Amino acid sequence: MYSLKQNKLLLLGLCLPATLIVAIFIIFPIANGVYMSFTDASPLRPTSKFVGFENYRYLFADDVYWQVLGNTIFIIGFATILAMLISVCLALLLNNTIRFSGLYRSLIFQTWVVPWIVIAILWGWIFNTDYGLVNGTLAQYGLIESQIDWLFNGKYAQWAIILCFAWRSIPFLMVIMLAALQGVPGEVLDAAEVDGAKYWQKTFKVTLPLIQNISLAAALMQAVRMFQEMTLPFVLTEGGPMNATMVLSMYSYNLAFDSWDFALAATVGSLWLVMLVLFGAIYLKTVVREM
Amino acid sequence: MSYVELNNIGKSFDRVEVLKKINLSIKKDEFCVLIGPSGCGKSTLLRIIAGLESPSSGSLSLNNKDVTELRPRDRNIAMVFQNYALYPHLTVRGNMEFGLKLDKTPKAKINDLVNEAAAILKLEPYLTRYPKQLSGGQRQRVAMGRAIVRNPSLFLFDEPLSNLDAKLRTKMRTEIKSLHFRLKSTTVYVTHDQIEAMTMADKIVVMNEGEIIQVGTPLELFDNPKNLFVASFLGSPEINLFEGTVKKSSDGYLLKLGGTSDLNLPQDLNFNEDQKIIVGIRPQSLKVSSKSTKLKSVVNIIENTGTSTFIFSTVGSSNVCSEVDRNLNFKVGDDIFLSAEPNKMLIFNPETGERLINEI
Repeated sequence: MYSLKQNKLLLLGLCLPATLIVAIFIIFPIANGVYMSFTDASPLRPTSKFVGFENYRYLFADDVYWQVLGNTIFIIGFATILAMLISVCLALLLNNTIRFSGLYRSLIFQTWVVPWIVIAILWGWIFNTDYGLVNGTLAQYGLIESQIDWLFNGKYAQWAIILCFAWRSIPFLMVIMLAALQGVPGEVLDAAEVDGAKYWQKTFKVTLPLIQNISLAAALMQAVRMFQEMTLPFVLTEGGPMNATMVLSMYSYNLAFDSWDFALAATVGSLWLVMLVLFGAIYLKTVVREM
Repeated sequence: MSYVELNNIGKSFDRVEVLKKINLSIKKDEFCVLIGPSGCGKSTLLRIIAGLESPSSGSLSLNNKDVTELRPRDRNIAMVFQNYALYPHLTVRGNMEFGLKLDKTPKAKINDLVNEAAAILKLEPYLTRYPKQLSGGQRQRVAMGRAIVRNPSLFLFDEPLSNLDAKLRTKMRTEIKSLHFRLKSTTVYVTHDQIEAMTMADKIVVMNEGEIIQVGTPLELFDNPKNLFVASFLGSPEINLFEGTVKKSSDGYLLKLGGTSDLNLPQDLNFNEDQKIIVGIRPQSLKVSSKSTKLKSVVNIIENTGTSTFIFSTVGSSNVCSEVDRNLNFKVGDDIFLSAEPNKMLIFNPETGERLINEI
């Protein structure tokens, strides 16, 4: 049989385009970012020099960095959990043959095609102190006496951002979980029913364990995606009040384009990269189980 | 006394009528096999007995109790599915315990029941394994284990052996049958494999197009099929069918098959001259010899399975098969002569397919 290995030149030629694209657009930026984190690169300086672990030492000693890291984990953690819970419920509901389930499915998915910036503006209005839907509704039912500054109160602002992040993530997670639910063999559910399981027992003891791996992998993907997203805090709260909603992505953006400290921004990025890689590896090793 | 009683059970999916007024009673401890071609409604009927589908009309009673409206869990049944339907996230033990745990059976009793079932099914070494670590046959045994631990009043099997290879199928067939002897449980077993039906059943129910065609013991159905459908469905290789016109001759009635071939018909029966009939003769009853008869043929293919030898030949436009002694020395292309005992002939109306003479 003809093997590509016999024609080294052709083999190289076929591999080259993909290798080049990966090298130029993925490996080089990562390597360059990591390299920059060991320099004092800034557009304000004509040249940069190697400073070793100086940037890392600075960041680890900076309270703001730890606050931002804590915020990011808190906001994205809760947003993912909230989005997962709601998506599972919606997927279970839509997986049953309720009327118009196809319509609901496509309506819910509409959220996914709306750009982040539109979502940010939309929720900005919903949470607006004076004219917002939330305050308006709460006031109408007499649940609040005075208007609440949802986006300018540290305690509420984090939860508002969590809610927006979760809301945007629901369609993606729901579609994945719906697909997973449709992959659960009907016979296994029939067997559970014959074994005496009620609907909730079937759901918790059979259906959910069977879609667990797919759901958790989807949750990981969505969490990583949210790590990269800064539109919501950037538009809604500008990371405030008092950095309460500042997330890593926005923090690194601010360092680079407000403080013009490319090196420190690259350091944040590098730490973030290491953290996500480690988290992803541990998560997949421990949570996703063999079946 | 009947244990399972189906009264006028009908089932339609939208406008498609899948089951038409099914009436059937199954005795206690009986092994009843539902058999029929794909799409005949046998699996739907089983699912209705299980409670996984509700009938569009009619009623169903188990042990003299109307269960038509009851959910599967309230019927005290167990079911073994075609694709095993094991819970992939649970071990063998977990699979077998599942129903017992839901019933809140005490832990010590669960252990006893699972260990006992595992011993019966020789599953002890695999209790901590997951289904994907088991072979097809082992999975099938786990599915049966899951059924027997619950000590149900009725076992339902939905084509449980169709995913196994031929050798394992034969082995599991015997295992299921011996399990039935041991547990003395009422069983409804769905299959499209007539060998399974013939070897396992106390009672066979032949179904076609949503209707029960005939009910009886395996030999009753084999020897006295009600119509062409039952005659062709049971028996392997299939029954030989000779279609022709009845003529009276000096030796009594003959079946003219076209060409020079004729078949001697039973002399104790009355036929009408020129009556069109189909005569069915099982391969085991179609004798082959080199001695001249009125039915001449040429050997097309010889199949030797080791236990039996089949000769396939052509008569008129139809292919016929006869089972012969393996020591008979025929070769492809040899002229042969066929004959059959008159009492081994089954005679059918070619238009309706019904048996013309029910008992010969």
